Amino acid sequence: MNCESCKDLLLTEYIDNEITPVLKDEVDAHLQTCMECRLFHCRIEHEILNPFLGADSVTPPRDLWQNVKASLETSKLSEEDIPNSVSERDVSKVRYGQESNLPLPASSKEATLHENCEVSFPNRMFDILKYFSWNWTFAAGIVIMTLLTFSFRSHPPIGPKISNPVRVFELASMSAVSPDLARQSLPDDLENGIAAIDNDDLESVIIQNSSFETPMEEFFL
Amino acid sequence: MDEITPELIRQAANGHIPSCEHLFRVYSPAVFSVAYRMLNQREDAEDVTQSVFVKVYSKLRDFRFEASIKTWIHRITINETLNKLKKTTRERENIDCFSKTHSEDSSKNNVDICVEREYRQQVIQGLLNLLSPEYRTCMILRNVEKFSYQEIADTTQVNINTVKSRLKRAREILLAHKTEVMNNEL
Ligand SMILES: [Zn+2]
Repeated sequence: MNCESCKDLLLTEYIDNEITPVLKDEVDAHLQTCMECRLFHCRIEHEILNPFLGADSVTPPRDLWQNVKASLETSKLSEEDIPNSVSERDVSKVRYGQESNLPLPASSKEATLHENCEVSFPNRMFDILKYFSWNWTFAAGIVIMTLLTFSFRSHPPIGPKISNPVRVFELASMSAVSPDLARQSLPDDLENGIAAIDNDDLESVIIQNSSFETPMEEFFL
Repeated sequence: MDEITPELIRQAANGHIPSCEHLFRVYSPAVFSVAYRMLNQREDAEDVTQSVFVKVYSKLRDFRFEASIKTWIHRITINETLNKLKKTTRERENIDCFSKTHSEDSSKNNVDICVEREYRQQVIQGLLNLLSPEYRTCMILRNVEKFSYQEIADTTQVNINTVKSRLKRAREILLAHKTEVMNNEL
């Protein structure tokens, strides 16, 4: 063994006890005969190994576990807020069998096992709604309202014969019935139709029905 | 070291608090020690220890039992520590600070001032701070935590020959530094 390979081993496997017995014998034999490598070995022990022998285990502060526990509980709590979390899905698979055609309950905790071994699930409608955040629900509400408003504007829902309130009063004036009677014969959703008509329409209604005793304004109240 | 059974790991993975605490009691001293040696800052080491265990608990479901939990936790520790090191600019300052301390302590005048124990820790930190994070990691795992080469390789995810050459290089740097200090004294 030459000095270079001896020093390489002294820096690594020899001092770390990772050397094979055969190689260790070779290094020991070389150290017996080589003063330079013996000195090198001394330096390694003194300057590298010995300082680290004094490495006390530094202990973490006592309250560190409390901090970890707190963040653990926080993360656990937020995990429970999410429906169909992985763990619950897994639990359901185990409980109901992976091949089963049963629908997975939104939460396995909500499933009820009856005495006749039937499993019932709560109404899932609410679970579906839970997927929508309030923002999306609000946005969807706005869209539906807008669509309804426009559809009433173009097609007031009063039926085929009486297509708009104005015609109701034309009809009423032609057949000389009082507006009260006309109101009774109207479909229930006239109110919606009224809500949808413009002020212009209202004026035309008033003009056309001015001969009636009951003022038209009152009719619309 | 207390025995960590697969059952305990499974329970901790399911959020069983007493099992999590047991895992913490067994491994937090080593995690904190490694973080402290790497960062040379108690507060930073506490932060890292906390984030290591939060990560350990959240990833425990993915833990494959063929790997050792010890090296797995240390791998997370090293990664978290290296991330922390990148964020802090203290590293450079620490080295400068050490070079001064180390030169002084060779004269042995300050030994009386420092408690013996404190002094030894300072020497160790001084030596470690001379090394790049890669070399420092290997030195801490080997010379402080007494890891085997295979354990270091598993923890740092490099092969054994790389571990060997990093340790060799790290020790050469330490020897060279000592020589330099001694030459300056003469
Ligand atoms: Zn030799």
